[in-house]
Amino acid sequence: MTHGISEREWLEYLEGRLSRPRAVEIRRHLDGCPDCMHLLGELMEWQRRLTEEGGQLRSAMTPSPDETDRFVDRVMEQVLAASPKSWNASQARSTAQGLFLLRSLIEPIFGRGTAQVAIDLAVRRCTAQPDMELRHDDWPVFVNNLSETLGSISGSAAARLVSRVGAALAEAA
Amino acid sequence: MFRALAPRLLAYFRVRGCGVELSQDLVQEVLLSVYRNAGKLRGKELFWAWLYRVAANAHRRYLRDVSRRPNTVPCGRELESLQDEADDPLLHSQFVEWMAWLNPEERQVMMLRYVDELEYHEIAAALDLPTGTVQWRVFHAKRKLAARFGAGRTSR
Repeated sequence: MTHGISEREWLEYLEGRLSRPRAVEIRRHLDGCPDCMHLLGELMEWQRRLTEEGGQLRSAMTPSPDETDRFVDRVMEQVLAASPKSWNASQARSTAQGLFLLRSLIEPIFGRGTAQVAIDLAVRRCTAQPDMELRHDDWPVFVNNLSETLGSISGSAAARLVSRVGAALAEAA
Repeated sequence: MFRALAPRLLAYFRVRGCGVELSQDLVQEVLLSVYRNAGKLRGKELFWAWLYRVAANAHRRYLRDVSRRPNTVPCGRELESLQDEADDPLLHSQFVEWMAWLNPEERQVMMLRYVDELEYHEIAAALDLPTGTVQWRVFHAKRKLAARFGAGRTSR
């Protein structure tokens, strides 16, 4: 506190953030107080110098946009590598979507019951346990199993249809 | 978001004496932490304060680890390192020279205010201090600098 003016008020006065009535009071005081006028001069000068030199230092230490881009690309690779859960989640989503689309296609052709039995059988043949979910990596084996099962019921044309659709869905995912 | 944050964070570590590679390692650590924990942030207006707190923690952890390691310099890199140092803007900075005259608490606040451009309330949140304490430190740091390096002109 200097002559009734707190540190906060000095800084806010200097930065033009002080309320208008209080700023007017301080200005009146400054007119009659050489000590405070001297202090204000010091503070203003150092505000200017610190802002200028601090800004120069920041600029000198800030990387160029190209450097930033290269660096951020590297970090993004790390982020993706460090997020196996989210990656697996997106794979699981695409596998579930593929299964849904394949079921939607074969149900009208082979009937709901046959389609369900064929899919269950194909899933069971490529997973370790009967109630396990189909994994992304299992998709080609699953499509092959389904193609064989439906081929044995409805002939080679059905088998080819399932193989082609299954492969197309894998590519789209 | 990373493209917006990375330059400020890289400058943050470099200004505090970390080399380019070390700064990149530390920024990567901070960004990964931001990526994992951004959802937990309460009060978006204090994002920068939170970010600088994460950065300060990463820097502190690094300094603690380094202080535990034996101090060795690979011979082949000694000359290269001297050359790098000669080009280092920190060595030629007037601001850094001024900061050397302040105590660590004042220096910390002044760097956050004038290099990192945080507002007083953001500095307060980043350092877990009352805003009044931050302003008090800035005020007295300026007076200390004026006493040491000259007062400058008088004006209103």
